[in-house]
Amino acid sequence: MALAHGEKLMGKSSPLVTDCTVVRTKLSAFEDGEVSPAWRSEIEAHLANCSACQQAITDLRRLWLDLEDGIPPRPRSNFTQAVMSKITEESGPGFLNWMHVFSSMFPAPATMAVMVVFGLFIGGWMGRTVMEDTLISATPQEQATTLAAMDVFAPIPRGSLAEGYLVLVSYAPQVKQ
Amino acid sequence: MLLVGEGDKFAFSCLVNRHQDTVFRFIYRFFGKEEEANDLAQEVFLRIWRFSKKYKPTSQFTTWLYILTVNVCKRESQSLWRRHISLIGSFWISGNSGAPEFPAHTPSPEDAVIHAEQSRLVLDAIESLPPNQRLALLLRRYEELSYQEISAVIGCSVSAVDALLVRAKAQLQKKLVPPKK
Repeated sequence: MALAHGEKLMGKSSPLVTDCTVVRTKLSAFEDGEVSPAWRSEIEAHLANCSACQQAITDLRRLWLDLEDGIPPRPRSNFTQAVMSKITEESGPGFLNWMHVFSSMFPAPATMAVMVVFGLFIGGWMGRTVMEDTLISATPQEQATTLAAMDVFAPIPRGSLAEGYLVLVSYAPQVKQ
Repeated sequence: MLLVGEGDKFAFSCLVNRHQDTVFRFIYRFFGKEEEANDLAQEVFLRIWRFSKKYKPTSQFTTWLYILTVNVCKRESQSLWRRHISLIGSFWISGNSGAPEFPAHTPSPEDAVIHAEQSRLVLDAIESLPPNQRLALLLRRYEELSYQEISAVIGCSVSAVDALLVRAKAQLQKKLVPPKK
């Protein structure tokens, strides 16, 4: 890439570097070659006389070397073919294109919306089917059995410990009197 | 690139061949996972194909390529879905959960162990940086872009790039360089 560098960092004013704290904030840009010639010579002059800042820049250089990440990874061997087959798929029917654009814009929300709509549809259909099968088209005896069985979903089912407790509580004031 | 804009698939396949390594490695270093890097690199090239008609050769193609790559990385790292998955994953997997996957083709077993260990440390340290610092560091260290170019790719000022790099380097020094006795 050969963009013009334009104005170098910190190239606006004539520097008078004496303070280590000022130099330390500029060392990163200095090491990257992103300071103006005036600042560069000032920092170099400071470094010649300051062992602490020399150590700081040595540490920066060592860090840069440490960032070498060994094995250069490579993409899959069929990477180009995979990309080409995808662009061939994309130039398919318009509806599929629209779906792809939508899902790539909102991947998670689109999936969740589809799942919610599907869940509502299935839930509604199953509820309707069960009601029709068990209550509407059943004999009165079967209806009574079904309703009794549904009692297990009540907060206090008949014959349960909870019902026994409530009965006891309702008797408690009478015992005191 | 102009041919690609006209829908020339052969020109596009040449472009993919030429730039796939750059895009893949950048994303691999950003996320530390080979499989994910492959998928997202594909996404970058699909975007190039989709937006090729809008491309105007006012700036270098590589700058545009980096902008698209960075946008894909940013979008992926901000994705709610991804954050939830990694949150769930952090409960399930222990020990070397953060360890990146390494390519199978290695020079020798000893080299592989040394390189893998070094790569794991470096990638883990880079992955611990906030996304913008990570982007700036990768563009500077591995892509060797100038501050001006990085500012154009990330979309911030040159001084902001400097600040990002200063913070990133300081944080990496804490993680990678052992403390002096």
